[in-house]
Amino acid sequence: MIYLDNAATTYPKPISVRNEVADCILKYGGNPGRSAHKLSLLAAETVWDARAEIADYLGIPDPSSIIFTPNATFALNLAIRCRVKRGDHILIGDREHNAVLRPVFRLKGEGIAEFSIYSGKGDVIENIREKERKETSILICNPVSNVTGDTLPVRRIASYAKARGFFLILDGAQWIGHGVPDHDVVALADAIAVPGHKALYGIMGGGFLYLKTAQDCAPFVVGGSGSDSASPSMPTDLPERFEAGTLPLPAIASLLAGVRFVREYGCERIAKKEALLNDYARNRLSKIPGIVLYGDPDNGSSVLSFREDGIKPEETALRLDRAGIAVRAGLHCAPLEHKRIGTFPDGTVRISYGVFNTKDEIDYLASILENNRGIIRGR
Amino acid sequence: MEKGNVLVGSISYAIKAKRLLAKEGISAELIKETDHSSGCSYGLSYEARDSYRIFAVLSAAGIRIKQREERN
Repeated sequence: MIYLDNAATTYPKPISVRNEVADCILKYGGNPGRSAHKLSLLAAETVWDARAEIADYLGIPDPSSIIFTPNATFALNLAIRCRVKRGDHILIGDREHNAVLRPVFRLKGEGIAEFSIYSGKGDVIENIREKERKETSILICNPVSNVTGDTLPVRRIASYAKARGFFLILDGAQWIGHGVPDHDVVALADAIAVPGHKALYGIMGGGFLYLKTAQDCAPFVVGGSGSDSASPSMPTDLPERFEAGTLPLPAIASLLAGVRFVREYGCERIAKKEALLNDYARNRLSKIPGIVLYGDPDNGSSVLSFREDGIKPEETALRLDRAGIAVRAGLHCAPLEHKRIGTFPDGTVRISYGVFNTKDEIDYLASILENNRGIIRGR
Repeated sequence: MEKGNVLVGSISYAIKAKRLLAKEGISAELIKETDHSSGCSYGLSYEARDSYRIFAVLSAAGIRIKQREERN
């Protein structure tokens, strides 16, 4: 199987990640932060090591501000819900994933907050300014589209949010892990939501939210935290304030190994490899008659969307699967982005790369698509 | 040998404190206690002779000591 669906989840996982998960299950699988026996304390120290590794990687001074969550969607919901107040206005971009669109749509439905969508086209800051209201308190930005790989000028947006006093939430799903982390942008953000199982090479079931401060932030899930147990309220300190219930230890252990893998492999090397594969794929596919490519050709990202003339994306994906190539077709949970690029409601076929992909695999993909086109022309 | 205990609250704070002390060459073990006022709390057990340095390190890091105890 040639796996080109790394934006959904990276596969395969590095050997170091697989070994760490096995060690976790076999050697230190106690419940972290609940007991004082050796297995529980070893588990808790691994969880702390993961916080510290992530914090160091992202240039975050205090590991306590890394809150573990089941996934990036949960982290985004937490970031939005912990901060929003009745009567607030939220700004979101026109390429957000449903992990942002649905929470703000629901807040609007509940009568809690209004939201507006700013365009990423042209002068983004001017577009944001046009949509601002006096009640605007939260600005959400998706630096890299999961459909096209198109980017937003996140540095400019972050600086503007800071200057205006907005609570800035960044969706790191297709951003963190794909290059050298921009510590200056991280320093400007109030919250960053990240999945563990995508470009950080952990397993599914773990993600995190970087939350700069717990001040003015209320947890939206409450329950056992392992400390301050006599109180009916959650603890006030990060990270336990936002970590109700048992943590997904195997996923966190895998994330620790995954971040170490990314750093040892080299952040710049990853960025170069993904950009090289994307340029190569774009070049190869652009020469096949009947293939339409989407997104900025120079975005240098790790995803590429395309469609075959006269064929629904799901059919293309099925044909590729039968040829041993895994891709993702449809709307990619991002209807706003598909409306922006004119591919709503059928969507596109998306290929997405990881560090284990090769040019030969792109050549094979291109040969299957060329063959498909020949069959279609002969119909 | 005289031992000391401090409770700092959560397991995260206790491990953070342990790691900071290790950087200063001070050895400490994680402990857990339960009491009427706060319920479950984590902290550190250490050689009492290190008390002064330990309090200085924790104070500099902004780690609040909820309870302390020293005994033979």
